[in-house]
Amino acid sequence: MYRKCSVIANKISDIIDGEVDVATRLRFFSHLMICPKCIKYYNQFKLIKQAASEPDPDELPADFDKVMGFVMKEVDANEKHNTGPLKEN
Amino acid sequence: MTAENRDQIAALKSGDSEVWRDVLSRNGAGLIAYAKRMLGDYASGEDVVQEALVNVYRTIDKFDGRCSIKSWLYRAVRNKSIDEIRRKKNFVDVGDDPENTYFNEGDGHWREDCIEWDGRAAREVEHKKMLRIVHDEINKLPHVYREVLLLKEVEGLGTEDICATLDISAGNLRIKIHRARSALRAAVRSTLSKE
Repeated sequence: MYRKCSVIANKISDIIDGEVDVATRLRFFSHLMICPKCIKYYNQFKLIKQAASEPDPDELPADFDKVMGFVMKEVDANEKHNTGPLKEN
Repeated sequence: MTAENRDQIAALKSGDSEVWRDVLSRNGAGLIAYAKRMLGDYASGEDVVQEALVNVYRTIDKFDGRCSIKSWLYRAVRNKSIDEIRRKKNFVDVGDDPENTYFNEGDGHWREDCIEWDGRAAREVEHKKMLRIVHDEINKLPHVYREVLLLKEVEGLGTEDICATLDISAGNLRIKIHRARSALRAAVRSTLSKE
């Protein structure tokens, strides 16, 4: 079991991302069983990760048509004239 | 590299418009959302992606296939976004890692109780409000933290793609992600404590 809360804090991201081996997980969660402060910290990281990975509620849908149109205009023109990107430079 | 990837790269290099359309369609919305949040405004995000993608098209011959096309696109947009942040002088210093102040140097235990907001936030703060706070605070983070959170949590890129996009090692990425989450947690805690 890890003794220091500072060690636990350092490993939280790796734990919630599943980046550690079984032995490390065991030592980590053994500490959490006896440390309410670290449980709170761990839960806050999990909540942060979950909230950050959900869509932004005010996010406007990306309108890619304009950007796509601009790029494809050049791609289509070069294809039509059989130049392609390699011959462009 | 798979045979399918090799074919796709060859088609891109030859200027096959259908393949270009397919690649851009699959990644475009994510690239704009990423650029917009890196820069903090929608119009600049579109301009940066447009410029970056034209540049990708014109320099596709330099693509060596050592990373995925997706990473190549994100890297191009990321580099343009950083140029734009520099141009606007919008750099925010990362400052000290807040986690350094939480623990006693000797025994490594908490200096004071970890303020509880996970339970309260989960139960009492409306879910949408919590999301609003978290996303607002992501947008205020220094770009070195914001970019890893956007790529990992928001865009859902895998470790390999993020490392290729940012040109960093997996170990370095893990440190950046942890520091970014730690900074985000501290910012959210600060906002919640004012309410």
